[in-house]
Amino acid sequence: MSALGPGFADPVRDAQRVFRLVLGAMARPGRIAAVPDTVQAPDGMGSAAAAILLALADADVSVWTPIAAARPWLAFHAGCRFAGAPEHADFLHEIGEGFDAAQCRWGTNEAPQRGATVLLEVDGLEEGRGWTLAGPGIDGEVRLGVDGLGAGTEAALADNHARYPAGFDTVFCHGAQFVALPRSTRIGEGPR
Amino acid sequence: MWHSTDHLDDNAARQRWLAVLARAKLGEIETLLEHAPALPAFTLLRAPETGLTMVRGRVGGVGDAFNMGEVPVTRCSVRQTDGRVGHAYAIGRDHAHALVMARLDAALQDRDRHEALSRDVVVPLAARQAARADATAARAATTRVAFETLAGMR
Repeated sequence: MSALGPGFADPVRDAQRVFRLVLGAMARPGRIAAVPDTVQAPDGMGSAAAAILLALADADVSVWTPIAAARPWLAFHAGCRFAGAPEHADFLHEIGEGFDAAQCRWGTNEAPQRGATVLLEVDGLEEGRGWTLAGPGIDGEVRLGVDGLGAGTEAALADNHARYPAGFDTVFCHGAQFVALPRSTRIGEGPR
Repeated sequence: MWHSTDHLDDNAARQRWLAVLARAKLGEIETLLEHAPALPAFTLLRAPETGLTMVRGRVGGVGDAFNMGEVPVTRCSVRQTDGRVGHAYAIGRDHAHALVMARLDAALQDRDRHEALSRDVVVPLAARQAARADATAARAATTRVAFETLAGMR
């Protein structure tokens, strides 16, 4: 018996809508956005990560996810390839502390576009507390609280920014909410 | 010919009924469904959508592959309430046809429904398609000319 679930209710409009939301999130780092609640994500995957993968993944990209139930769903609806290992994935989906920055594909100075887009599921997202973010797309500074990250992730993200334009881009996902953190954003400590 | 007892190779049986359903017209299927057991409830996995597919042929039927031309293909996938998934791919732009084809594909995989549905819907459709093919072949046969080679002539 198949556990396959539906994808976007209206594939064209929903995909365009989610694409526009991700574009906006990348353009305004630190601002929390939310996908419409029409996507039934596979078990273990949040609806934001699921919607973003449905909108962005296709036959030309490779995806890595630790959620076994998500692979048939993505293969059917997005038609994407699956990377043999996290370091080969164009889109790397990971859960909280399971994320190891050394295991994702970093872009290089010559080919920054090779950097993976990391979709990282976290325990909480809140504006106004936590990190202090600054850089392109941010007027002055914004504060962003992200809960549920592994011990080395914050240092890895700072290193990621230091190596700009090389590195990777991150989208933190919590249920239907998500926040983008492109590699161009400077992350500073803030009182928690 | 399609036989309702061909369960030994499930995939082959499924390919055969999908082929028969794809070639049938929506009207034919709906008429036969009126006297068949009702199809179970379902949800859409992928609503009917139409796209283009390149049809390829082989030179002389056996040689190199070549692109013959693009055809519109409509596809649909449904999930029955019992979890079975049905798929449909058919030439043309008939969304209703793709939907009923996917529903039938799901229902025919259920051993409890298979017997009645194949007897009431698939077998009659297959018989009609075979009869049409035979009629076409018979008409073509009347135009065949048999050549004799010089070597065969005395």
